[in-house]
Formats: sequence, structure tokens, C-alpha cells
Amino acid sequence: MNVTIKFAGNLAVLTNNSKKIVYELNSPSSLRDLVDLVDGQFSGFKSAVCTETEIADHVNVYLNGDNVRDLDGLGTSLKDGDAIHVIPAAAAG
Amino acid sequence: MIVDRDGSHFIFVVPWDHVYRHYNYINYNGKQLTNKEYLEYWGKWIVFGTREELEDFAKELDPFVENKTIPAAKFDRDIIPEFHLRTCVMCVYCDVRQRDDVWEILSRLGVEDKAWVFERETMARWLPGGHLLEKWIESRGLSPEEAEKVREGSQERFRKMFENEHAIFRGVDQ
Repeated sequence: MNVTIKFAGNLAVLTNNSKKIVYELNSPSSLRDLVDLVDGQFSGFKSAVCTETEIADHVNVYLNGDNVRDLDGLGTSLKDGDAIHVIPAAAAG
Repeated sequence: MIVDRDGSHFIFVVPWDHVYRHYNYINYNGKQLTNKEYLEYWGKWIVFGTREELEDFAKELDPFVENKTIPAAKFDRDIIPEFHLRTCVMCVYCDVRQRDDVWEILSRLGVEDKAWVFERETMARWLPGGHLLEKWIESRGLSPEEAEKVREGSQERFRKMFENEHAIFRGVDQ
């Protein structure tokens, strides 16, 4: 399945200024799997946006518009065609 | 109408009635929200862009705000360097129960990136220990005593604003 991930503001620095990437994931997959995949391509991504167990406080991650903190955090299930947006939490201020 | 006041960091898109006839755009189906309802239901879609892009977009939103299909919006006059966003941000406000209708309009106008934020989330970030308040304190280089005063002030403002959960929410000065 294909999932699109987009990075807003200064977070694109973590992906060499790529603002939108489409990843192919096995089904079923979770947000944690996607983060691992991004981290495999852009080393340091995971530690920049996550704590050991969750999304870091300075970042908001949205699945099709909803904050994943209101879903299942890194355990949130993904499906084909999903759109993930990673934005600095300051943008919501 | 677009309200661009000297001294405010934000430029607003609000109904003419709100400015001149005491209309409160913080409502759902015409019923004003209480403090409790505000924290439960009120929020915003986030739109990114340069100031010029957001100014143009504000003009497109204005008719929807005037006919009250979109309650209100605001956007940054300038990039806030302390937050390292590298972009300006627009908040398009509405009740979560109407957010799909508002999103449909935004989507028709070309917005692609979907991010919904409840106001309660934003407020939590401006309370003591919250990411935004602590970042702001850090950027000002305040002494520990000054920082503590700022934290206490923030906590007290929030307490006062929401002490009566059944009172009509009156907004935040910005």
C-alpha cells in the first residue's frame, strides 16, 4: 500500500528538504513502521520527532487531518492512500 | 471583512457583524458556545503559506466568512522567528461539528494539507510547562523569577477565563 508523508516548515530539513514523499508499506502497517522507514532513508528523523515511545511534544502528526495523539499515537494503523502531515507544534499556536 | 489592526501580529477575517454589531462568530448553528463547549468543540484548520499567499487566500475566504459558512480566520503578519517555522500560518476557525463542511470549502479553494487543531490543545501549549510558553520564555532570555511570573500569569488568565464553564465564551484578546 502507498502512504504519503509531508513535512511542513523547518521539519523538511530532516528529509534533505523533501516536503512530500510517497512510501510503499506492507499491509498491515502502523505509523511506527512508517517512521522507521523514513528514518532508514533519513538517519536521525526518528529521534528528532519521537521520544522513546511517542511523538515528541514539539511535533504534531496528522493522519488525514486528525492528530494521531487522538488516535493511537505511533501505533495508529495506516491504510492505502493515507496522508500523513508532520508539522511543528508551534504552527498550531 | 479583513481586519488589519496596528499592533496585532495577526490579520483577521471576521464577519462585518462581528466588528460592528457584536455578533459572536464563536457559535454552532447560531448558538453561542459556553466556555465548556468552547474547549470541547472549537478548533481550526491550519493552512501554511507566505504572507502574500495567505493575504490572497484571505480575500477568497472573506465571502464565506461574511455569509457565515466559515466562522473566522486569522493569519500571521510575519513569520515568527522564535518558532523556526519558516512560513506563515493561517488558522481557519470553526466548531468540530462543522469542520467537514469548512474543509470542503478549503479543499475547493486548493488547500491540500489537512491538519485540525482543537483550541484546547493550543491553550495547553501556552500553559506552564507547555511547549509554546516555554519556548517563548526561552526566546526572551528571562530570569528564573521573571519566567515564573510569566507562568503564573498564564495559569491565572486561563483560570479566570474558564472559571464559569456555563458562561458564554467571549474570546481571547490578540
